[in-house]
Amino acid sequence: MNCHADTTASTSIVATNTPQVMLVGQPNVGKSVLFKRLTGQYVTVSNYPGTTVEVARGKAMLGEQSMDVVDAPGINSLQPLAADESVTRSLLLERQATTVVQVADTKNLSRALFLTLQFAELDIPLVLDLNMVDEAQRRGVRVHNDDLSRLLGIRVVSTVATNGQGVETLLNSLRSAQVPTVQVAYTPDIEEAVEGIENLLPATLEGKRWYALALLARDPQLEQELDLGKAHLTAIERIRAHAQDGQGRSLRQVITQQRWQAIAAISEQVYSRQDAGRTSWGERLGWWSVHPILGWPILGAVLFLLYKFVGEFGAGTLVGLFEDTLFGKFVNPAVSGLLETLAVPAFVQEFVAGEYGLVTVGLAYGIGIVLPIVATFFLAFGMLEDSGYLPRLAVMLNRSFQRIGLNGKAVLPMVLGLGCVTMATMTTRILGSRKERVMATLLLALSVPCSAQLGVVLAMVGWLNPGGVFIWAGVVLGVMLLVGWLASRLIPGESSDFVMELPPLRMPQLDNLLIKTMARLEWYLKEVIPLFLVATVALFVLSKTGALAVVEAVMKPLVTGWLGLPEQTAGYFLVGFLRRDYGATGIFDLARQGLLSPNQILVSLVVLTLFVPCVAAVMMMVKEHGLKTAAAIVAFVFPFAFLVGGLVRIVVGG
Amino acid sequence: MPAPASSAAPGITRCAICGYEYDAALLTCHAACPLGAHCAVICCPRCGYSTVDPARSSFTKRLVGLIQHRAAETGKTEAGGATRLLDLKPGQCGHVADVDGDSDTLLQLSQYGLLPGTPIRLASKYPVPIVQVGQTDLAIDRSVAAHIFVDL
Repeated sequence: MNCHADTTASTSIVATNTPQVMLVGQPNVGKSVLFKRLTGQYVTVSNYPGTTVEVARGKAMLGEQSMDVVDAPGINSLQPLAADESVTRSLLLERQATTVVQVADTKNLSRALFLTLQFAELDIPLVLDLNMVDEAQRRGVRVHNDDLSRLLGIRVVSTVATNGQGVETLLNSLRSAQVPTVQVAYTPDIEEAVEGIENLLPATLEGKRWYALALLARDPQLEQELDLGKAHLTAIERIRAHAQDGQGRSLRQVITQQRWQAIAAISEQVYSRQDAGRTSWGERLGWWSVHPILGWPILGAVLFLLYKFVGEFGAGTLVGLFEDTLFGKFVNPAVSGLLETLAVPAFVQEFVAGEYGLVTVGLAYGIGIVLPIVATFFLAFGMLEDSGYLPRLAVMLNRSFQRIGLNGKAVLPMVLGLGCVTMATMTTRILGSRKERVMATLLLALSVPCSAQLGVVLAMVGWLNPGGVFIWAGVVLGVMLLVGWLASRLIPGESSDFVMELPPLRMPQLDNLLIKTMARLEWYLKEVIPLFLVATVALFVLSKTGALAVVEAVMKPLVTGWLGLPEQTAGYFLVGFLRRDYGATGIFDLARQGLLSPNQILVSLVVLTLFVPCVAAVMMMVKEHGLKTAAAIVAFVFPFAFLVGGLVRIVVGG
Repeated sequence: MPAPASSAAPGITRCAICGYEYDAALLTCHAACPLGAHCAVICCPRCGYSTVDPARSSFTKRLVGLIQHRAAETGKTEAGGATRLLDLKPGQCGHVADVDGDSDTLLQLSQYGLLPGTPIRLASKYPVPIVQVGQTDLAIDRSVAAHIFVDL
């Protein structure tokens, strides 16, 4: 599954002739925007650290020569602490790239240098790109590129990737990439230990100094990859113990600290900042949105606008336009008419335009109902992403999420899940511990309705009893809290602490927003429409062969006895395994024909909302967490959904 | 309302009118009152001035708890005289004096440049402490921020 244009998950492409250029840098410094500038290809870009979780590849032209460009997930250090960072490190250590472009946020030069110094130790040929130089200037930051270039021994180029400024110069400088000459002078005890470890490393290994420092700081993963043998490892352990002797803190901290001292010395000579004087409105709004009191009305306003746009405009106005007008008045009659004039057999007529017709049901569901809702949601969500509001939302909701064993970082996957759970499952990678990743995935699968389903629910609000929608929301939210609370106690492992960078609030760029929305829509449609058609065909076949009646009979005790629903709903629950929103849309249809009472609608909605979203989401779970965990989640979710549905029925009656 | 006078021993009430100090727990004057068990009113054995015993009010207990909690938080300093980051007022600046502990999270902080010697500004404290390090705004869980000490 891929939502990025032309991306390959494989990490072992080694093209012998074409130079490989790799974009590396901290999260949220504009690597993906630069990637788009260089290659003309789009990868998801947002104002949120950790957007690129997969490696994207594309081609750029430098004069006559074509180059492979790789956009790597952001890293803060070459000794990573999070899962999404180790991908980039492996790419660097495998040395596939002939050239590395280090993309830096100009105003945060010193953090960039923290990586540059490590690249220097690793002997990696480099060009330093000081990106977002416009934002730095607005904040009164000045960097003397020439002096910096002299001190580091590499080319330094300033760019504004969003408008293309300086990108040409950057391209031309790629040929002159060099290994930085700058070296951190560590204290004698560390230097001695480094030399000792270097002597134990294989002679052919490039960038020994970095490896030695990493091993000194303790890096079990690296020890394993290098396969040094027991004798060498004991020797390293001895050197480590010797160096550690007399240090107040861990060697890793000592090394980090000395690196930062070197950075301070460089930064002093090239970096200056004048107070811009006044705070901009963006900054002020940024602070208000995390204010303990003002933050809540702002959050409320954001949710209200989101509901107005997606719930009323998307699920109301647009669905009306697409479903009732486009399909109801034009497509469906036209297709039926056409089939009749062609005098095709009744069987075909029914296949295309019947009760479970490919066009009248499959396409009408997929395009008429789901498309407008998903489109408006992705547009609104893209705006939130690009503005930089989501990390602030994470700050506001951190406490509530901690109650259920997660922390504010889980806000992104959860909110993204309102758009598409499959996509969101992939983003759980940004969470700190395995426990949190599994929990977030479970809660996504169980209780976060995706936009397609939300839309159907919103469309049915009118059919429910007054307050029915609140019961639905209350049950779903309650289940989320309860299961989260229980799971946080049952799933072994630690929760990580909440540490999150807040990027500046930025005005979303219209072109990025539109491209992003289109890319996501394409991905979504390619996945949804086929599944909707498959589900429709499945229902058609089941009903024609009489199997549907068997299924209805088999599921009768569950559907009629326990949930109190008419037998016809069994078929929709069955295809709900494929895509729950298809099931919900089917229920919607039954409700429209007046076959369900308001309480029955409520019960079936609750059950379907708690269903695992779709086949694609299950596959993503397997990919991210392995077959065992995914199977456990699925095995829990389905019976639980029916259990809760039955309980709701008992409470509301019907 | 006569607060539990700081000069007096705990549990001792000092009458606001006559200054007599007495232990409210030993008062037996209202023992016959049917509301006795839930009654928070006490009166001075010397002058008869009646007042509400703060120790018997759950509201006050909460307030006192909050005040003592804050006092305890502000009181804590490291041996070297550095202040806890969380004791700064929002907007106050300082230099990081020490980051104790050795967990991954603290290492993560060092990747953002938050290390001893770095200038740091506490931008806000609630709902999550937010610090400014260089040009980076960082939201840090309270439990982690508690490990950071600063020199003013």
